[in-house]
Amino acid sequence: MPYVASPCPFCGCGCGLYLQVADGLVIGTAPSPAHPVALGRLCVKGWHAHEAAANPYRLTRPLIRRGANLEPAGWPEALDLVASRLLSVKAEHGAAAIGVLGSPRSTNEDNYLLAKLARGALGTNNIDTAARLEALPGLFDLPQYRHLTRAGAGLAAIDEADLIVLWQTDPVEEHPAAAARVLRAAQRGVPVIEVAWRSSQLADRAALRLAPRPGSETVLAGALVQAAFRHEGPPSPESEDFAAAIADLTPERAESATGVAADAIEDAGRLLASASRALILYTRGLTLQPQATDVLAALSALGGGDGGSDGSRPRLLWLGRYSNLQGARDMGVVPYFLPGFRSLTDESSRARFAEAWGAPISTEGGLSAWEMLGAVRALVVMGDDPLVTLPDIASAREALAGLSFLVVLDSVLSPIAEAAHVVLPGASFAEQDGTFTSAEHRVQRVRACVPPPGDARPDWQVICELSGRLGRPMEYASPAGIMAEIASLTPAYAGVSYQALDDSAGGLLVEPQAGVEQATATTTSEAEPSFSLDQAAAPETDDEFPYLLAPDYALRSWGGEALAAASVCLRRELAPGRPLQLARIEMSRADARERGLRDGQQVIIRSRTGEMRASLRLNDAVRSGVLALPYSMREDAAAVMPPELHPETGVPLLAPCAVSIHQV
Amino acid sequence: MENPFLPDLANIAAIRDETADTKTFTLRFLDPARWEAFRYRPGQFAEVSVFGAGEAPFCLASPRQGADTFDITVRAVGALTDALHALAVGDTVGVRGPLGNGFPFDEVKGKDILFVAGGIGLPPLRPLIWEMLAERASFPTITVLYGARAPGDLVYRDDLERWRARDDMKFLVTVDAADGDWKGNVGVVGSLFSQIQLAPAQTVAFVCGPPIMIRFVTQDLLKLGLAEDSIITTLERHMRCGVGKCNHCLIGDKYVCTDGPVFTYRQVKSMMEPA
Amino acid sequence: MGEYGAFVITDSDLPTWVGSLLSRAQVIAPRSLAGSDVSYDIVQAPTDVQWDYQTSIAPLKRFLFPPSDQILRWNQRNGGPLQLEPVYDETDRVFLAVRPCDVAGVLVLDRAFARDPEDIYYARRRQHSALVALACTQPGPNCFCVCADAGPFLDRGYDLQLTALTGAYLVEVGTEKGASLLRGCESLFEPAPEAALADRQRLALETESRFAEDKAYFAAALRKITFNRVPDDLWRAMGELCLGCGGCAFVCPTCHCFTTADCGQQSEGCRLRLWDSCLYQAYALEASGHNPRAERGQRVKARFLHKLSYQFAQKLGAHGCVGCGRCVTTCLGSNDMPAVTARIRRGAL
Repeated sequence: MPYVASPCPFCGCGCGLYLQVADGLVIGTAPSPAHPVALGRLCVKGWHAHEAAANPYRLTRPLIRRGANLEPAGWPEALDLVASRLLSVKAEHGAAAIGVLGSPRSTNEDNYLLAKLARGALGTNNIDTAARLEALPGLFDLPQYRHLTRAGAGLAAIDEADLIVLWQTDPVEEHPAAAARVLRAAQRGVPVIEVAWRSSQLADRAALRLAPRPGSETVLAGALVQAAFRHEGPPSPESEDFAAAIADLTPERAESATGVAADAIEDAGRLLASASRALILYTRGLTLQPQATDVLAALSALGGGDGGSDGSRPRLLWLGRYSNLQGARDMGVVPYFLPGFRSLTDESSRARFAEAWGAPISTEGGLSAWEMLGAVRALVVMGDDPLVTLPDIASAREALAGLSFLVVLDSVLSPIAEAAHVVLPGASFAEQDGTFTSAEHRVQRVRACVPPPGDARPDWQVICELSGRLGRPMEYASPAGIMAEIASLTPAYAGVSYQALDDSAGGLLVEPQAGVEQATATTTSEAEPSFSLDQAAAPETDDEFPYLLAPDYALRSWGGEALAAASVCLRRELAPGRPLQLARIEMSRADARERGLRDGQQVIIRSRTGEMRASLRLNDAVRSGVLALPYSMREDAAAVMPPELHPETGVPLLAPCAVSIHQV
Repeated sequence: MENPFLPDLANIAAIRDETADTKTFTLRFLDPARWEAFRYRPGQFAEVSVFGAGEAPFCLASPRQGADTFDITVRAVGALTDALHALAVGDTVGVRGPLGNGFPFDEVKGKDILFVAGGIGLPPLRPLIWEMLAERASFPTITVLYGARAPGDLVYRDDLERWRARDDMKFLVTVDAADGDWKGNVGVVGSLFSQIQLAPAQTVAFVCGPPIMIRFVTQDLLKLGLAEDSIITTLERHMRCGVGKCNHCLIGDKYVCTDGPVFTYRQVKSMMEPA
Repeated sequence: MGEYGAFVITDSDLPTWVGSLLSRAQVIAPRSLAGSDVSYDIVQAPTDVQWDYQTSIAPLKRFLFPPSDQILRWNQRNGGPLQLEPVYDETDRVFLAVRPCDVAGVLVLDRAFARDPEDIYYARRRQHSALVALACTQPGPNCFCVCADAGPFLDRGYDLQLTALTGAYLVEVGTEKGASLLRGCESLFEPAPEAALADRQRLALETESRFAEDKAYFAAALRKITFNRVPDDLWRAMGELCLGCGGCAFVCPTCHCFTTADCGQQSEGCRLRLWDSCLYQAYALEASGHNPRAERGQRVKARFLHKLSYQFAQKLGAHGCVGCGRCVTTCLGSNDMPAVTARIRRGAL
C-alpha cells in the first residue's frame, strides 16, 4: 500500500504525515488531516520527509579505517573489531573510560537498547546525547522544574491561549507547525508578544515587540514579572520570594540595561497579569543562553510554584529541535537517569534495572556529552552530531582526534563518522519499526516502509549483536518486543504498545513524570537554579566595541543537518549556492549606513579576544546595535566569540560579546 | 513521440581558457546524424548534462556553418559548472537542444546592425556576428561594441583580434577599469556610443550582458532614437527543463526557454513581472 | 450525459465489476488511512474501496506525475560507452470513484504537459489510465468546485461517471476507453432508464444548491490579476502570510512545477524529476546569485498569476483551480485560494 503513516523526522513538533511508497522506494510525502498536530499541514522540511527517508548519500556498508581511509568491510569483521577494542579499553582503563552518545533522531527502542548496552554490557554511566544541551541540562531534569517540559496540551495550548509570548524563538524558522497556530491565534485577536533581538516573520502580527540587547534577558524577564505583579500580585509564596529578590530592579534600570522602553515593559506586564491562559513559547534560543536558568526562574515565578498546572497561570511550552530528543531522554540517554527519569542514586531503581538487564548498574556518576569529549578514551556514537550541536567545535574535533577508538552507527556519513575508526551503516526512520516521542510527549509509530539498502541494518539489531559480543546477549524478535520491555519498566510508557499506537491516529500522549519520586536527582552540577541579577547585565559596549555579536539559533539553521542535506529542495532553500567561503554576519540597514557599509561587503569583526573575517548581509529584522551570527557558522567566530563553560553548570555556551566592525 | 528530456551524447573536442573562471568547451556529437539534425540558430541554447552532477542551459556560442562542432562558454559559479570545468578533452557530456527562439536574421536584413555586449553577454552574440559577416552584403553596416569589467574578463580574444582587423565592420572594446598593460578605451560599454555614428531609424541593436548593463544601454539607445522593436536582448532566468514544463523560467506568463530567451524591448516592457 | 450511453449497475453487482477491473489493471480508489483520513491509493480488493467519502488527501497527480520520478538511467562500465536510457511507466491504471474536481485537475495537467514539446513521461502514464469519476452529492466544508466549473457533476472529461442512486449506480460512458471498462461484464449493466437519468439531473442541481454563497471570488480576481491591477502592497501583505512550506503546490491537482537532480556518478546514476514549489525562496534563484523573486509577495503574486490569469487559462484551456479545497486545509499560513480571491476582490487584507 503506498501510504504509510509516520511522524515527521525533523523537529520536535511531531507532525504526522504519510510516506508514499512505490516499487520499493519512498517517493513522496502526503499530509494527514486527521493528525491532531499536523491537521493536514506540513512545513518545508516535512514536505521533503521522503527525501530524508530515501537519502541518496546513505551508508550501505560497514567501513573500517585502514591507514588514512575508511574502507568497506563485512559485518562480522566490523563488529568483532568494535567489541574487541571496547573490551580492551575497558580492561585497561575501566568502564568509565568509555563514552556512549545516543541519538535525538533515532527511535526510542534504539536509544533504550543503547543505554542498556552502555550501563549493562559496558558498565558505564557515560551515556548522553550532545543534543541534550538544548534541553537545559541541570534544570530540566530536576524534579521541581520538570514542569518546564511537562506534557499536557502541548501545541494545542497555543490554540487555547489568550496571550502568547514568543521568548527568543522564531517559530516560522524553528517550529512552523507552532507558527501556523500562533498566526491563526493572532488573526483571531489573541495578543502576541515577541521578545527577540531579531524579529520573526510574525512580528507584524505582534501586539508588542520587545527587543532586548543580547545578554540582558534576565533583567527583562525580571522586569516583566515585576510589572505583572504590579497589576496582579504574586500568585504564590515562591513568587513572593522572587518579587522580594528583585525589589531593587526599577523600570529605569531595566530600560537602561535592556534597551526596552519602560512603557513597553509595563504594557507587557499588564497583558501577562490580565491573561488567564497565557502561553510562553521557548526553544534553544533561550535554553542555550548563559542566563537561561535565571530567565526560566523568572518566567516560572509568573506561574506560581508549579508552572500553572491549574490552568490559570502562564504556561511554559518548550519545543525541542529534534524528532526524538524527548524520547532519548525518556529512555535514559542521560548520564544520571535510568529510563523513565529514575535517578541513578535511587537504590530501588538501580536494583530494578539491574535485575531486568541482568547486570549490576554502576553508581559512579556519568559524564555528559560535552564532558566526555576529552575525558574518555573510547566513544560509541549512534546518530548523534556533536560537531553540529556543541558550541565548541574546535575542542570537540581535537578531543575526537585524541580518542583511541571511535565507532559511529548512523545512516549517513556524518561529520563525526568521517573521523571514526569503524562506521556501521544503520537504517533510516522509514526502514525500521520503532517510536518517536515528540516535544509534547506524543509517542508515535515509526514504520518500516522499505528495507534498508545494501548492508545497512536497523540500529537495534546492530546493538543487540554488539551487546552479545560484549558478553551480554540481547534478543528481541522485533522492536515491538523492545517497547514491551520499556513499558514494563517505565510507568510513563506503561500504556504504550504497538497495538495501542496503531489504534490511535496521532499516537499516545505520555506523562514522563509518572511514578517518579520527588527525590532530588544527582546532576552534573550542584547548582540550585535561582534568580540572580548578578550576571544579568549584557556585556558592556563602548566606543571601541560598540556592537554586540550574538548567535542566531533560528535563521536557516537546518542547512548543515544530515537529514535536511538529503533533500534537493532543502539544500537549495537552506544553503543555496556554493558553500560560503566566509561566515555571514547580519546587521540592520540603518546601522550599516552609519558605518558606510554595504550589503555583500567583506568585513572584519573584532572583539576583546580576537578577530574574524565575514561577509555582511543587511537585514532590517536585526535590532540596532546587534550583529547576528548564524549558530552554524560559529567555528569561524571562535576567536571573536569563544565558547565558555557556564560557571555553575559546566555546560559550554556562547555568550554575546562586544565587537567592532570594519571594512576590509 | 520524442522524449524532450533525453540527452544525446557528445564528446569534448577542445577546451580553451577564456578568463580565470571561464572556459569554452567545443563539443562534438558522438553520432554524426545527430549533428545533422542539430540545426540551431544564433540565440538558441542547449541543456548540457554532466551525468551525476546535473544539467544546465548554455547558449550556443559558435556559428554552425562549416563546422561539425559547437561551442559553449561556461563560467564556474556552482556545483554543475564546477563539475564541467573539471572535465577533460575526450570526456562525454549530454546535450539537449537546440532550445529557445533564436535571434531574428532575415527580418533584419537591410538594417544597420549594432551589437552591444557586456562581459559574459558576448557568447550568445558571437554566432550571430559571424553569420552576419558571412552574409555581409545583406547588412549595410555592422558595429560591435564590447565591454568587460577588466582586461582579464574579456573572452574570445582570437575573435576580437579578427574583428578588429576587418575593414567591413567597426569593432570597439572597453573595460570598466584598466590594468597596467591596457591601452584601449576605459569606461562602461555605453561610453562607446560617442565613438560611433548611428542612423537610429534604420538601426537594429542586439544587447546582451548583465541585467544592469542591459537596462542602461537600452535607455541610451532609446534616447538615441531607436524603436522599441529594434532593441533585441536575451533574458536570463533559472532554467531547468528548457522545454516549457517545469515553470522555473517564467517571467509573468512568458517562458524564457520557449517564448525566449530572445525578446525585443517592447516585449520586455510589457511583461507582467520585472525582467 | 455520457456520449457513449448510460447504464445502471446494482450495489450488489458493483464488487464483481470492481473485481474485473482489478484483474486487468492497477486500481486506484479512495481508501481509508489513519483515523478519518481517506486518500486515493492502490486497492487490492473490492472491499478496500471507500465509496462513501468526501475528499481524498492526494490528488491524482501523485500517480500520473509522482513526487519523485526516475526519468533517465545511465551507466558506463570499464571506460566503455555511456549507456543512457529513459525510464517509462506504462502500467495500466483505473482511477476509480475519483471526484469530478480531481478529474478536472487531470484535464488541466493534460493540457499543460501536452504543450509542444509533449512530455512523454506524463503522456505514457496518461494513455494507460482510465478515469472513473464518482459524482459528488455531498460537498465538503472547504469545497468550491462550483466556482471553478469543475463539479459537482461533470459534463465531459471522464471515461466513466458514476452517480450513486438508490440501490444502484448510474454509469455514464464518456469515451471509448470508458466503454472498454464495461467489456466482459456486460451482464452487470442495464441500459439506464429515464428515471435514473432524471434522478441524476435532480441530484446535480440539488448538490449545487448545497454549496454556500460564493466561496471564491474568481471573476473579480481573474480580472484584476489579468490586468495587473492588484496593488503591490496587497501582494506584499499576503506575502507576510505565507510561511513558505510549499504545500499549496503539492496538494493542488493542477500544480506541476518540478526540478531535476542527478543521483550517482557517470559510472552509474539516474536523473530524477522532483516536485517543486514556486513559493520557495530559491525557486527562481539564478546561478549568478540574482533572485528575481526574492520577496515573498512577488512569489505569491507569481503563483496566483499562474492559477487565475486569463493569460495562463489560454495556455491551459482552463483556470488552474478546480475548487477542491485542499489548499484551505494545507496552507500553513493564510493564503488559500478562497482567502486570496476574497482579498483581491476587497482590495485589502
